[in-house]
Order: sequence, then C-alpha cells, then structure tokens
Amino acid sequence: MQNDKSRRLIFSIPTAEEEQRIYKGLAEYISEQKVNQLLTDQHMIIAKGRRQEVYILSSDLWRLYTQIQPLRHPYFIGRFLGELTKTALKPSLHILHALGDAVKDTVKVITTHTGEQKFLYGQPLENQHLKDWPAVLEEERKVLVVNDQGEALGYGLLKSAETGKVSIKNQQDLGWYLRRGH
Amino acid sequence: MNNREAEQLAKQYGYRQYMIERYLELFGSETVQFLKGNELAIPSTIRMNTLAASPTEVATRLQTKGVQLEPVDGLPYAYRVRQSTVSLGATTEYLLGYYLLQSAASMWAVEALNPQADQVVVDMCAAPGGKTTLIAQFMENKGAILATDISRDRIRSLRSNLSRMRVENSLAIRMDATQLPEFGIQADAVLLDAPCTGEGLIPVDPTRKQSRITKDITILANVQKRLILAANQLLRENGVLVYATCSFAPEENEKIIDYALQRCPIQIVDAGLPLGEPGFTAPFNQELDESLHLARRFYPYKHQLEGFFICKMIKVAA
Ligand SMILES: C[S@@+](CC[C@H](N)C(=O)[O-])C[C@H]1O[C@@H](n2cnc3c(N)ncnc32)[C@H](O)[C@@H]1O
Repeated sequence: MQNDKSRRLIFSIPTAEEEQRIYKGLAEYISEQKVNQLLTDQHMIIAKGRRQEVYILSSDLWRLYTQIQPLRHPYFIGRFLGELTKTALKPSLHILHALGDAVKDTVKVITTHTGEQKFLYGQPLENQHLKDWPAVLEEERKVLVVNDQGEALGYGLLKSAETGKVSIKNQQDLGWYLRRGH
Repeated sequence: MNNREAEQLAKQYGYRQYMIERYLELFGSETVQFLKGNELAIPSTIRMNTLAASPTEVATRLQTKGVQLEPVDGLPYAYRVRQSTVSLGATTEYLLGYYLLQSAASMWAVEALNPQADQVVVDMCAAPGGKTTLIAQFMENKGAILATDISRDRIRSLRSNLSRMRVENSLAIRMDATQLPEFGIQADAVLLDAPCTGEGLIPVDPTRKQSRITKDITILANVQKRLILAANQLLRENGVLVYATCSFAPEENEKIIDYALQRCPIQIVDAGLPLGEPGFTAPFNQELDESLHLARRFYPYKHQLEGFFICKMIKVAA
C-alpha cells in the first residue's frame, strides 16, 4: 500500500534507549510521578521521518492502529507527546499545557498580559513583560513560557544577566500554527 | 414562462441561470424568499471545547475581551457571536484550543450521529476536522475515531485542529475513503460529510453563485455514491450512519440516499433534530423512498443557517 509521499514515516515501538530519552525529556518539565501518571496504560509509538514524533495511544486506539498499520500509515494518532531529539524528548506544548500546574517552577516563566500578546506574535520578551521567572543565572536556559493563568504559550530561551536584566528569545509559540496558515 | 423568470432572477441575484431554474422547480413560490435568504448574513457561531476548558469560563474570558455571545438553543456548547471587537481566529483562547469557529449546521450533523464514549467511529471525509473534534468531544476522548481525508493540504489542517483541540482518541490517515473497507473495521458509527457542490455556503461565499456547472453535480454525485457504499461496508449491524452535505441539490442528497437504500441493508431513522425541513420524496417529479421525509434540510431563509442536508440511517440485518 502506498504511503503519503510527503510524509514517509516508519512507525515503531520505542527501544529501551529511546524510552529513556523520552522519560528524560519529560522529567525536565514535570516530576517523575507525573511522568508515570501520564504514561500509565498508554501505548507509545514513534513515527520516524525527517523528524521523530512520539505519540501515546489508549488501548482502544491501539487496537484500531494494529488493524490499520499493516495496510496504511497514520498521518497523526492519539496524543502528540513531542519530538524526540538526539538527546531527549521535547514535549509538545499541548502536553505541557494539559499538565498545567505540574510543570516545575524552575523551567517556567510567567508573562504579563502584554507579554502574552507579544510572545504569541513571535516576539522576544524582557523584564517588563514578565511576572515571574526562575532565579537562575545561567548562560541560556530553555523555559516554558506561560501566561498568568498558567497556560503554556510556547518555549523560549531565557538569558539572565547579573544586572538583573532578563530576556526571553521566542523559540516556538502557539501563534506559530496560525502564522503558518494551517 | 419559468425561463424568463429564471433569467430575470439570475440577473438580479447574480446566479447562473440553471441554478435558478432548479430552485424554481424545487421551491416554487418560495424561490424569491429563498434567494433573499441567501443574501442575509448568517451569525457566526463558536463551539466551546469541553475537552480543554469549561464553556462558561471561556465565554466569560471572551466577553471581557469584547466578544458578545449568546447561547444557541439545543446546542449546549455553542454560542452565537453577536458582536466582537477582536478577531476570533486569533485570540489566546483560540490558540489554546478552547473553542472553534464552526457553523451550527455542522454541529447538528454530529448531534444526529450522537457518538458515544468507547465506540469506534469513522469520519470518512474529515478535514479540516470541525466535526471530528466535536465527535471526540461527544466521546470524551475515549474509544477511537478513524478520520480520513483525501486532500494533502486539508489533512494538515486536520492534524493541526486535532492537536489544538486536544483530541486524543483519533487516528488520521490521508486516503481515498472509498478504500476504507479494506481494513475490515466494524464501526459503531460513521459520518459521511461528503464532498459536494457547496451551494449551501452561498451566504458566506457568494462566489458559489457562479462557480459550479451542472456537470459538477453529476461528478460529485458519482463520488458520493461510491462513498456511501463504502460507508455501509464499514458499519456493524445496528451501527449508525449520518450522511451530510452543504448542498441544496437533491442529486447530492436524497437521490444518493435512495441509491444506497436500494443497495444496502440500511434504513432511514428520525435524527431527532428539533429543526429542519423534511427531505424531498419526489424532487423534480422523481419518486424516491418515502422515508426520505425523515431527512432534514436547513435553509438560510428558514433557519438562519447555511444550507445543509442531514440524513440518519441505521444498518439492519442483511
Ligand atoms: C465537506 S468537506 C469535509 C468537512 C469536514 N467534515 C469538517 O467538518 O471539517 C469534504 C471533504 O471531503 C474530502 N474528500 C473528497 N473526496 C474524498 C474521498 N474520496 N475520500 C476521502 N475524502 C474525500 C475533501 O478533501 C474535503 O476535505
């Protein structure tokens, strides 16, 4: 059976090493207990193409998948857990949003209302756009950008200087899907 | 006499003449009202996503942003937009998947299907996913939805909507849905929201007054026939099939159902919708199955909705 040429994907169950990378990526953002909760009773598959996408499926969906998979490859399935990179999983924003308050404070910055709007337009943020950020001085740290209702807006790179100046470079935000046009 | 009238109305309202000739035959003395109805703006509706947030909380958030909403009778998750100072396709709440802009007519199609948690549901022509995401909402993200669409571009939008709207129980495939029976699935419910000429969308897209010719109806009717035969094959006994289009043409609606009734062990049932006109049983003087009066037709001039056709069927023992 022909697969969609624009998205030639190979579906597989993660190896032990891949599973480790998936857990490691999730554990950066949420507690181990939450990771376990998220993955309990779920089947995990990786769609390998240009990128490696990890999906989780309930048993009902898994049953359907096993009926279909020998004949056709899905385009999308279950819950998109995130993209698997060489080092770890980059959790999808929707997963992090669903986990809400469970996301660790150390990897989260909170925007003001103006900050939220700017970030969703793909722009960088500075002190005046932020309500709170982790008290770390590191060269650069990847953070989840949330609004003051705790809703995940995207990923940014946090830079904080000894002078107290903070900047967030926009890496990915929810508005991106809209700007892309579909 | 009809020809002269058709020519004059076609000119006045900007349609191709063949369309008016057909409307005159179908709607008789109500044709002018029908045409006037197509000129009126249809209020936009949004559908709250109960999979992601509480509808009342989202409504309150939108109201503080200058969006005036009012509930839609019979659809507890739907709100009519009375006025808005913001673009509803670009708010934070939209990006977070808390609601979708969706016509109420589309929502009624899913109400007719009434999918249940833990079922296996097939949405044969699913992109961009307005109805699939509502199906998931009905199913509370349980069970499984197989969503297919043939279009490469539209399947991307489907993916994006499934993701944004937090749908967790779907499997989407880009494929010709007439080939779905190859999987040997026995679905509890099938939605066939068929590709159609889309005349019913004239109130929102007046270019449709001119964009189709009669041949399009014939071509699409052939596709619809193949799709409905496949839909029947996918269903288990007692399974539910809903056929829907946004066309006024009986060739794409009642005649497709009549064709399927003659070939498949299916029966039309009352969809239980509180609105809509009965389906035609003898359009253009052609006698069709009597039970087609149970199908429902929506008209802009009568229901303040896009033109739509919904027919609910169940599969019986062969
Ligand atoms: C009326 S639209 C569906 C709208 C969709 N159900 C929604 O609510 O968002 C019809 C769809 O049928 C798709 N289509 C046309 N022929 C098809 C086929 N043979 N198999 C599957 N999909 C098909 C089109 O690409 C189009 O997306």
